[in-house]
Amino acid sequence: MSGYQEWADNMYGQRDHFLGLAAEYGMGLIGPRIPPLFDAFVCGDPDRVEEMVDHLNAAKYVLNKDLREHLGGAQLDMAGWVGDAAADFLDYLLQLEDAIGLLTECLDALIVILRSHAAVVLAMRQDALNLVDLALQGIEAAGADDWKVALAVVGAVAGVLGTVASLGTATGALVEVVTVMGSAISGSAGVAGAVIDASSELGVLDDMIKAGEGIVAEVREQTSAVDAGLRELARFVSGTKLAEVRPDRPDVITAPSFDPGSFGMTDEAQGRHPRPTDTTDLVPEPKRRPDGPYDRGRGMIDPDRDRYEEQGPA
Amino acid sequence: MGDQFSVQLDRLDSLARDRLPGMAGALVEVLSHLNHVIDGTYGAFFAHPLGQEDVFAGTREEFRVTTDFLQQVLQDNVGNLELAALALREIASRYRRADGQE
Amino acid sequence: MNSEELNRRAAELTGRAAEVYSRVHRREETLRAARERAVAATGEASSPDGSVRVTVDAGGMVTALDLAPSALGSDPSRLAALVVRVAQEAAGRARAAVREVYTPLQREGVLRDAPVLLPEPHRGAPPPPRPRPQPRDDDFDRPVLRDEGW
Repeated sequence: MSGYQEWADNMYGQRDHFLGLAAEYGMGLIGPRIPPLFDAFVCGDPDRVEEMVDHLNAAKYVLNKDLREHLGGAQLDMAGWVGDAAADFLDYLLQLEDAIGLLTECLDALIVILRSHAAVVLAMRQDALNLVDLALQGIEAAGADDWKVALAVVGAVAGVLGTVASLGTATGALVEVVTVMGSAISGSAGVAGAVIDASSELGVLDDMIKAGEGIVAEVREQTSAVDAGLRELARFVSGTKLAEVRPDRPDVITAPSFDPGSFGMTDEAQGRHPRPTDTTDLVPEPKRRPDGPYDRGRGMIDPDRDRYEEQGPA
Repeated sequence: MGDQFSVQLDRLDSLARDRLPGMAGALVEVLSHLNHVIDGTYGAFFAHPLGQEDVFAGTREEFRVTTDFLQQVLQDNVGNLELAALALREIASRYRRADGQE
Repeated sequence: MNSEELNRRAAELTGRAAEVYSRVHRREETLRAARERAVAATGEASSPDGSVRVTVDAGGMVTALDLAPSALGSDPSRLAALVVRVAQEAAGRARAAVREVYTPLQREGVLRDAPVLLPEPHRGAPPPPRPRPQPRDDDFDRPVLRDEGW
């Protein structure tokens, strides 16, 4: 059984026991409010996040080892080739080197975002268990002589992303994402305190539901910071830094014809060998491909804005 | 050992047949890892199908958008490297044809 | 706390929730059964000569009154007093029957408070009636209840 399935089974088991308790006490308006609470508590799977982070780390490794090795070799192979198109191609390779750095930053930012999401889910689970624990204590205490129990739910969710804002040593995409997330967090109320004051069993259940709804509201608050980070990263790769993470096609692709003088050898290397005379296009540049599924249609202000600009002729 | 002319062409071959395809291949591998990440989206931001709450619906959507853009960036870079490799192979071929080697 | 630790704690709490539910369910079942027995409880009493017999339900309502022919020959005011006394005795027995249902549950802690309207059975002589307020001289020709309560 997966870790998630185990969690969901326990949550739904607890839900059913609380529904049973509510039924014993006459249910009333309490019963229908119990299932949505536990439905919220089974949202998200931090174990799945770890698998995703493993893939992102593997991707970073490939970028920074295999790709950089080939890139270094490619730059050496360009030695001795001269002319505007050759210089443009070398420049393209140098831009690719910068792009690798930026893409690594993007993957790092995605890791921070995913880990933040996992932290929110784990904190929500912790708060949910504390709540269930206290509610059970409340129900048991409600049968005692004093019929009173006042217990505070400690909010693990509140402020769970507080550490994100302190990851300030990064650069590029990561620092921009972290800054945006940090601002979103600082705007949060950051309070998920709740009190179970049990003068009756139904009162305990009512307080449990109210406190649970408070936890879910706090989860949504913290999640809005994660969403802000994702939006910032999307803006980074598709807008402000698109040209840097996706260097423009080099002239050897875009130029309509081939000029041996612009991608040639030095006179010394050329020697007495004849230069090419075929000046036709080297490769046909592909036409612009259609928009991706998320390029357009978002937002009321400029629904026709192309969020990700495709390359090539229309 | 050939003259400088053939050394230059060998370098261009290395670039067009080894280095650029190697870079494209590495990016394809990166893309494959990203695809695995995208496959995990539903699970990471999961909501029970029979449940009434979907707390991370918005995050799931933002994650799809962001990773889709990253996917497009990687695909574009792979495409550009493959096209560049073709172009450089063609340049090397034209130099050889002009020299009567092909 | 990682997800494995959380799952362990979740399993413990599921077990505890099951226990609490099971305990509450058993208690509520016991209370429901007790309520049914209490509601069905009745009290019956007869006059010493058997000429008057009264049956009363758990709420104190007279549900049956049997008068022997010999009772009808007696003085009406004496008969009325006899019926009242027998009815009160029957009501007391009905209350006692209800109390018998709930007292053990209270002792076991299943029930915190017994249902209301179950006064303790009457023991000993009744308290002397409160003396009526005596009118003072200056109260003549004025309502005696104007300044003083009962």
